[in-house]
Amino acid sequence: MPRMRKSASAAVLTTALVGVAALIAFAQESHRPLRSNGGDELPAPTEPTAFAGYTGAPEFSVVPRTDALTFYPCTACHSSLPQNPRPRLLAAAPHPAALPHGAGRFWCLDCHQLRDRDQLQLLSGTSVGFDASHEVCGQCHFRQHKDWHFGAHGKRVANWQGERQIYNCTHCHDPHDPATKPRQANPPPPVRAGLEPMPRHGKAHDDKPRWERAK
Amino acid sequence: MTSQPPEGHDAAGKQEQGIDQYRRRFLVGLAKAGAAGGAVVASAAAVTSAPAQGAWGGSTLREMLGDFFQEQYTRMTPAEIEAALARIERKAKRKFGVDISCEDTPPLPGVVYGYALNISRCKGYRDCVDACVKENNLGRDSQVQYIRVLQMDNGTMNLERSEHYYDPATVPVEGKFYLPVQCMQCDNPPCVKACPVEATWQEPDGIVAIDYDWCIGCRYCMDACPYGARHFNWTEPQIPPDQLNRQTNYLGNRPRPKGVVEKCHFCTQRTRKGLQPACQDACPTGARIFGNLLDPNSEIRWVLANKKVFRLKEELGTEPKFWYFTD
Repeated sequence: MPRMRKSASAAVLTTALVGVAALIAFAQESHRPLRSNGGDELPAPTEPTAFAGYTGAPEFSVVPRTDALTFYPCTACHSSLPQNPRPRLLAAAPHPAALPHGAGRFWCLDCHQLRDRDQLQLLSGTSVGFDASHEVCGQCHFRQHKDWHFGAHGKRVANWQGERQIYNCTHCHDPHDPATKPRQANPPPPVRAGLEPMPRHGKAHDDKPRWERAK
Repeated sequence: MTSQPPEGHDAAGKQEQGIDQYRRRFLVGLAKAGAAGGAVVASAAAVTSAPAQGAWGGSTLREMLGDFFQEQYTRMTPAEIEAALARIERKAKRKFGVDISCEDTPPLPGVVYGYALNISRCKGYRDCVDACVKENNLGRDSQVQYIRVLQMDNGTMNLERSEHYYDPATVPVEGKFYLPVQCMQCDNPPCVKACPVEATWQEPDGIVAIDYDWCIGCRYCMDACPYGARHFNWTEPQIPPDQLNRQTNYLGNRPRPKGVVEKCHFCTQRTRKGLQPACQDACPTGARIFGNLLDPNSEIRWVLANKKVFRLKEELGTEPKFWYFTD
């Protein structure tokens, strides 16, 4: 009995081994290196496709920006200046003295095109004009960029229907220091003629409810 | 100054003619006679008083009677509206010395206006308030302002603890947010139900309009409005004539009499011509989004579909067409 059992188990083992060997052979047969999957020619990376907007976003045009730029075109000076891509402190007058945007992570040429100073550049190296600066901003601020495309961020000019023209990011945000600064508000509403201004700026109630004040 | 109505005798003979019509004709005749008589008085008074302050407070008796018998806006015939607009223009000329144009702009077909306001963008600058006052010919020293910007503590939504007389050196103040409140143009407006004389009603484009000449100043609507959006002008609006907005509209920003209720009308004089309301135009942060709720491609529809929106006091069932949202 023990001998018989031994020969049976050996038979099972042999069958399993043959099966595994066949599987390996099949896998080796079907496996091809990754490169050879696409044919004989090597992959040729093309120019990355430019962002073409969101599907369903209403048509728009952007208010031109270049007319409002004081020192534009930049090539008026930069065509005669040597190109120096090395990050350094720029003390010359037309350039912003500080670059709070990105808290020190940025250098001019992250957004400005080195080869053509009248252009901005995307991270892919593609040149875009100053009027399309929203494409530069949208690379990081994609949520705002999407809202802006659909009209939830930014501002539409003049009309609520018909041709849609919207302001560019840089109309409201200084690209070198984009956070909006606190400023003085317009005066508060006047009180009715003959009345004194309301005490405590019109706050009739205490800040805390009674049960919290009692503590 | 007794005068017989021109066709008074015939009218009295006809039984089928209503007494109202008879009375109206009598008064029109009286007005004509009064105008002729008033002209004599006016020419005499012009010697001593300023031309703007002639007889009848610068007006003729006929003009005053025209004001008195002016119908409610929705019941006026086109000719009567024309006459009313011309009277408004003449009155403004007398009062401010400038030529204004008052129009009756009809609502656009297929349009219901809606407003969305981004409270994470609003910084409390009150630029919208300033633009609204100038656009809508509100008195410069009166307390009437259609937009009320409330300063609220972060994380709270208690309107009673809001402050709209805030005046710090700079805004926004740390730990506060700003909630501008104006007329919500409710779809189920309680103010319209409260008005005892039908001086306020809902236009086909959703704007809750007021006929300032029909309002009796009872202020029931102010009590009915849960948003405090209606305002009573206690004083004659004081506007420097050179700052008067001359593009006016009957239901919108025309110079209004003292002692009636006013409110935001989504800048009828602008929006019915396709322009943005003045508050949207003035907002420096782009927090305000205005548009047509019936247009599925409009910006406001995208905001309503894709942003977290809420309405003030929604539980009251007033169905405001003014939404607030956050980024």
